[in-house]
Amino acid sequence: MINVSMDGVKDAVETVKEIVVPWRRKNAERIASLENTLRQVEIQRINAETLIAKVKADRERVATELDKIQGELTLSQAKKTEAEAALILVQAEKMRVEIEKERASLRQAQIELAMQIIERFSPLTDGVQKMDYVIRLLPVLDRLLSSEIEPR
Amino acid sequence: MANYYQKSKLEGIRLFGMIFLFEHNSSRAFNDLKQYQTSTLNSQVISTSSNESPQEIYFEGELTPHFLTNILSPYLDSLTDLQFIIDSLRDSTQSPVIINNIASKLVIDETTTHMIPSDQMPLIDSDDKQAKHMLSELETEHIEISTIKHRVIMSGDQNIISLEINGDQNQDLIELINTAIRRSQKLAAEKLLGFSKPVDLFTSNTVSLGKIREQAIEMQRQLQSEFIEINENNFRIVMAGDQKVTALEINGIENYELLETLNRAIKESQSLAAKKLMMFSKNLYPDRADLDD
Repeated sequence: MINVSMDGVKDAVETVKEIVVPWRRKNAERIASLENTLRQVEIQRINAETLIAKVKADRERVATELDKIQGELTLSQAKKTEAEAALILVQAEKMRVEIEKERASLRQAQIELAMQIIERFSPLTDGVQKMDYVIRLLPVLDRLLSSEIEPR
Repeated sequence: MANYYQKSKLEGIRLFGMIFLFEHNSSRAFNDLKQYQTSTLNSQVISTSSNESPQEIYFEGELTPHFLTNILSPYLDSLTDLQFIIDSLRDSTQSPVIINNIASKLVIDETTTHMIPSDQMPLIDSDDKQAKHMLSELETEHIEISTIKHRVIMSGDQNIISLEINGDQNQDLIELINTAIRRSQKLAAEKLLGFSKPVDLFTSNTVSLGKIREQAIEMQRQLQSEFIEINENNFRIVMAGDQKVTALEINGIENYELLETLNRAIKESQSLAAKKLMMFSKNLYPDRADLDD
């Protein structure tokens, strides 16, 4: 256990414990799932790139192939691989769209979190000022939410 | 032999359950204390600045240079930024943020004044009917952890019942993990015996919660530094004495996702055992209202 004794951060610590940490716990599964899907998309992209490289190599081999039948076989195999790669890319794109939707939804939830903090300390702040504070709060919240640690 | 196995299994479950309870109880006690301190301070400073008293913040982790530089420092920076925004929201002057102290510390220092009678600590005898009943109940209660690729079903007595990798059962791997868990239980039981002196954790008339936790944490530390490695049938598993799987290889390839799933299942089963242990102690002392949660 690590103990930090600090002066001047009472409100921040209370806000983190009472608002930020519960938000993080509530949304932990969504964030983890988003990261997992991102990794899957990256794997699919690498798989597709590997297949495209194979297609390129196959096509180059066809160009130099003396045996016509063997050349046709290689070409049809290349076309099949190309179709596979295209399918993977389409699937990856679909997943990417879903990721963007989820990311936007999480961002919206983060904005609501920032609004909650603003309401707590300055409920009478007008709309324009609120947006200004949201913009200032979001990067700070990002860092607090993505940290490996949280205060107990 | 069967009795010895049952005893070490019980002791192992007991130790992991106790560690879980210590963590639970101590954090509750600590939170109560903090809440009391906070409410007292709040009532004192309500009309002045809210930042007059130093904040004691606790984080899980070890105070290594890496942790300090890359994890703790950015976090404290973010806290400071948040405080500045809050000050600005309140139209109050920005008070300087000062770090008074950073130290590795056991929370038990804060709670050593909390004395608890040893009869609050459940005692388990493997021949005891209630203990056997508890064990049989744990055997029948199952927890399930599923991910996209993996599904692990584990009983409350820490036995893997089912393990699916991409929908396929793998009996050899189940056997292997169960062997590792049984060895870790045996190790824990041996540690518990070794720690029964000089302060007997469970039988002295009164023991301080701090002292017990100190010993439990020390036990946990020792268990964390011992490893059980089993290499069989193209599987390799390394489990720390505190029942955390630290490496899992199938055909020489590390499977981190399954490793995480297993660790979650083991943690859940420890939590189940801890809850059962609490109920067990309530049955032993039905008139103790303080064991209600």
